[in-house]
Amino acid sequence: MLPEIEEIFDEDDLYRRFTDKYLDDNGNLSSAAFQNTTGTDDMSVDLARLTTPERTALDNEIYGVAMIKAGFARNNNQIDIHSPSVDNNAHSTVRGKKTRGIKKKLAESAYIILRPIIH
Amino acid sequence: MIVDTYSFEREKGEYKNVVCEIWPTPKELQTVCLERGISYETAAQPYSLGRGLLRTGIITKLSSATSSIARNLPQFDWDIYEHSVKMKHAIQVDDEIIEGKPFQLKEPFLFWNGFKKIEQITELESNWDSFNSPPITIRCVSIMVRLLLTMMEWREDLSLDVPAPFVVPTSDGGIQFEWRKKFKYLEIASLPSTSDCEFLAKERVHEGDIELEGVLKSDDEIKEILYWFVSGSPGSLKRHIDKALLSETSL
Repeated sequence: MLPEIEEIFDEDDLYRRFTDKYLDDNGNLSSAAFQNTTGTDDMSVDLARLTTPERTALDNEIYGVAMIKAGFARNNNQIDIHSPSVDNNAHSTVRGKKTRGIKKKLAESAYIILRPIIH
Repeated sequence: MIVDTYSFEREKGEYKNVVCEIWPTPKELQTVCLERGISYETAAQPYSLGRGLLRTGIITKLSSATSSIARNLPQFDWDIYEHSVKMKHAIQVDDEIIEGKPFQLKEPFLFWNGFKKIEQITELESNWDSFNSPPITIRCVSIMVRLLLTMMEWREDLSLDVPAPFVVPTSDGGIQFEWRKKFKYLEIASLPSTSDCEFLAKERVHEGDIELEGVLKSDDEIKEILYWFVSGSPGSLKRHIDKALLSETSL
């Protein structure tokens, strides 16, 4: 049975997992880290208050975690939806067309809370 | 401009050593081959970047101790590093095995990191970002390798001092180049669905951030946006935006 759907508030933090490929030598996060899943208008995130950065990173050091504000995504024409899955209660979706400008703004607003181990 | 030369002794046989000239771009290779009357197909050895893609060129010839007559060697692969070059495998010439030693370059190989990063991301498998991403498409690799080579030519021919980009795989199977400066940002991306490149240019001006995004349909358009990034005066992105708006209005 799936858990109840939570309301996502503007103040909520959202965790986005990213690979080490998206960090340059100066620690800048690429806009490519905020691309929708291919063929959809959805970008997977986790609702921070229902998880931990380590769980979002799948307990794998090759992944990092960036945090964005739900309200910031909304202000950029996105819809934040809590969309839990069987194995991830925190799973959520940032839905909407992501132009290059929007992806870049999301990257600029993101705060990296877990850095991947660079390989 | 020749990057460097490479030579090593053979242990026995008629020829003293193998001389290799390493040229940064195929265009320059072609020119020098024409000037010297060397067959481009046999004298120019393209370095293969993963899946047989062109990275740079090397002329190889045997130089005789007693004669200045050069003889072309068969094509073979090289590994090019930031500061050195070495033969990928030993090769057989006539009945002798030749094995090259690593050769130190006098100057770092331009954009080496970019080529290396592309080489690495060609090896990414499905789901490489954990969000079911496909592998990077061969077309995007080809387009972006060509763009790197073209930018090297522009640096040489046009003094367009474009810096090495940060190379990023994208989750749709594409490749993105990114450049950052204090008040400017530029990204150019190759997408699997089209042979054109998309771009985003951002500039921080007194009033805030301004940005322009769109499609680059030709080398000239790529060159123009690179000129903006490299040497455009503060606020000059506005002129590109006005031009883009004018172009849309006239359609």
